[in-house]
Amino acid sequence: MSSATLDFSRFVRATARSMLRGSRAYWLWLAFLGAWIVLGVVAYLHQLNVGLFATNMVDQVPWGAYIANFTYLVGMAAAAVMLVIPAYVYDDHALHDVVVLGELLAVAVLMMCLMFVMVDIGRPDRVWHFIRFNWPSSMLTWDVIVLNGYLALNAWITTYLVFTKFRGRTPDRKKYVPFVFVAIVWAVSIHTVTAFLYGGMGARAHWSTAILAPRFLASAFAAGPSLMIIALGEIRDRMGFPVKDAALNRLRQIVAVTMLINLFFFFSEIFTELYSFKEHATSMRYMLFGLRGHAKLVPYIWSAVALDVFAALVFVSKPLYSRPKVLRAACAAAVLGVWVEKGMGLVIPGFVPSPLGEIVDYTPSFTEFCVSAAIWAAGALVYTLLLKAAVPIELGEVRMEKAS
Amino acid sequence: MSEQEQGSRRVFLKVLGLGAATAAASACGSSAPTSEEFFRQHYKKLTPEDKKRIFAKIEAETLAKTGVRTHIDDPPPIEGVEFAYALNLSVCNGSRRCVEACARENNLPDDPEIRYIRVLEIDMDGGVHLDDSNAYYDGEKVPEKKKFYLPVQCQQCDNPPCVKACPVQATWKEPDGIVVIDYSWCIGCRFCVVACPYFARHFNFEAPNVPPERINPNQGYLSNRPRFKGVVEKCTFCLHRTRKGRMPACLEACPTGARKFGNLNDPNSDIRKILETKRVYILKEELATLPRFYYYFE
Amino acid sequence: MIALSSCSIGDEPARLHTDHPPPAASGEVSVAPREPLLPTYPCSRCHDARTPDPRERTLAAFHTQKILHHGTQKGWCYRCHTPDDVDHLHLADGTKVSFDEAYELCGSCHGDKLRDWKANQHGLTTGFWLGDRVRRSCPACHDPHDPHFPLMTPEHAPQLPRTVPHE
Repeated sequence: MSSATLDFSRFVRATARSMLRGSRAYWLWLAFLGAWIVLGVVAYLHQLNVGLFATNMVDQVPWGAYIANFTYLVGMAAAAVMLVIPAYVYDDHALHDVVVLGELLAVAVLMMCLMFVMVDIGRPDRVWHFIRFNWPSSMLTWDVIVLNGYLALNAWITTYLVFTKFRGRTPDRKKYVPFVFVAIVWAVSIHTVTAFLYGGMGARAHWSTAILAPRFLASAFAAGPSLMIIALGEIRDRMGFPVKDAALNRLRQIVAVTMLINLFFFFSEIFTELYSFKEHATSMRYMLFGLRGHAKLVPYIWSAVALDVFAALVFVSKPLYSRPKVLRAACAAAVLGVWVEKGMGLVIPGFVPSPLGEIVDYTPSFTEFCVSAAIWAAGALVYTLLLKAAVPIELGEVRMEKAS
Repeated sequence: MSEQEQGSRRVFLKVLGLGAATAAASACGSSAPTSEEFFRQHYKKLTPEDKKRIFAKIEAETLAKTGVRTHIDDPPPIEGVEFAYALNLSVCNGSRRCVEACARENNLPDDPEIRYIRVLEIDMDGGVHLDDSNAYYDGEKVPEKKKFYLPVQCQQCDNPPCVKACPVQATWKEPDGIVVIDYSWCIGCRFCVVACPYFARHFNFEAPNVPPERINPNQGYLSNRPRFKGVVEKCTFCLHRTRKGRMPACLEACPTGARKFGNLNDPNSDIRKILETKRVYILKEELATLPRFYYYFE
Repeated sequence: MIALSSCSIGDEPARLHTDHPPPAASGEVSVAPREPLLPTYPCSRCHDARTPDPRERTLAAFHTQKILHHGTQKGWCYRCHTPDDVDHLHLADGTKVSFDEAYELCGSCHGDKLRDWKANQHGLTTGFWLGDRVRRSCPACHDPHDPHFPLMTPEHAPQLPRTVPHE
């Protein structure tokens, strides 16, 4: 066995040990997540048994909570690049240390994306049918390729960097920097492809707009770094990882700009659709004001707007964002606001009205809620475990023993 | 590890164990595919021997499950034929006889209900606007005053958005114009359902269930053979009939003769004569789907 | 292994392949005969024993259900039926027409419908698009005495999506 392989097996054992030791709070957190996961597994097995009948999706609303969550999370994964760009392109050293933490989030989030797709398809036993790719026509084929590629990229970069640190060596720039730059471009591509999934649908007027991909990216780059700000705060407080204030501030600057751009794009969409009041705008009217007595989504979209505006205001005003609790609240508002905006503001209104003019409301079923919650819990679990493995190594607390 | 840590770890492990047990119990109820079904190749890769074997297997399964002796066929597209459909909106009276004849011909389930044809009732004073249409008209005799009726089914587009969307090439356009689905290849992602502008594609949210006495035994592999939970289906212009020279079931059931069908390449066909003499139009022309379904008023 | 799609973005979609010769398509179109379907045909069975009464009136003894609701208020049975040859109908100029050819009589006023019908564009034509077909004469769907196509009870409405609350 080569030295690298031997060291890697030591690395795996050491990280496994890290994952298995923790405070009471750690284990309770894992148990909490585990409970949600178990619930979701049971719910999913029920869904496998009876079919997607267990969801509230129907022919008129063929995609629901699963794909809405998937769409949102692809944006999150892309947003990990928000740490990478300043760190590597602009040589912002404050962010260099936390880049690995952001990429580990991307890995966890990408796993969630893949899980959401798996639970949504009607015949998961036929996943191998992807060998018959419909490339380059099908945007879904593109999405599968780019998401797996991005996962591989981030998995490589993070594993390489953490493993090298574990061995007490300096990382070889040739082995990760090119991949980092590829990852930057790739990150933009994953969310653009996902946006094109929707934008390519001529049948769905709500999505068939050029500004869709820019909106996707802007909202993702507002929500992602917001989540990172919260996550980094937790990592600093609970795991003792030194996150510089400058790093957090850089992230705040990013989300200030991206959230404002997001709001501007949203406003631009609304204006374009509603000014001439064409038939194209029916979905928009349903979403904002309700249509023909159906107004279920209206409170959600306006809440999302309120959350987004609140977040933007905090991000740009120093007296507010310098108070950590307020900043954290604004970040949570951004994360939640964009989630509602993408799910209930984008995916669902695309199906109203149906291609033949029918309005069918959609709310996730109990099964969908359980499975979705379980996948979020699984993602949180994966990220927790990855952090538990990586942070002690990054901090230098865990090193490979040069045993004979 | 401290006492507290050990205790918390026990909680976690207990949760995990309970979950695994429940999961195993639930899994027993799942319907898994057979080994042959799992490994079956795409339709385009099946040899004639494969097809013989597969069709015999499906017929045996149907016989065992329902007691009905069926015959599965695979008629190839006829050389030089391109199908098209025309519908006379001046005489369609909204009887929905086509909807039910199609259901009987194609073994469509009643519960949950799948119907390939959807008839829209529209007010006469506003043109063809689908947003104000009503598919659920019932109770009154048809045609109702001041209303006209527009049946919609798969338009067998020449530029089909569903074919572009399918990530695994489970749906494609055949040389005679029919867009078909290999039900044994479809992964049920429903991207095609999202992509279709005509609400023509339908997903089996649960296992379809056709009572044995209503099964049509004359079946086609790409059209009306038994389908499954988790796959998409749609109108196939009754290819198991039309590829043998017969008319689609919907056309034969129409009491007013509103439906016309034929080969675009035959200058004497009904469909060609309509295209040459009537003012036809297509639905959602701005989407450039190039449908093979033409509507006209007289 | 990886099968590339044959239809990528920007490709021209498949259109008419007119380089192939069309198959021997539409065969003969025959008209389904009416006379076998008429319960009282041949009419001469009864009418040979009767003298035709040309006075316009409401029939009281036989054929009482045949109230004429066809177009103008002028004329009655003998507008179409022939008093001295009850097994035939007649056109406006007196030309005899069999019941099987009733469409010629209908078409003498409804010429555009006759033209469409002869082109298989009006009314139901069943059979084989690749082969012989049958179309039906006008009275098969339109009772000449009350030709308005009858209102029908439609088949049941589609099921509402299962997630929509049923009233």
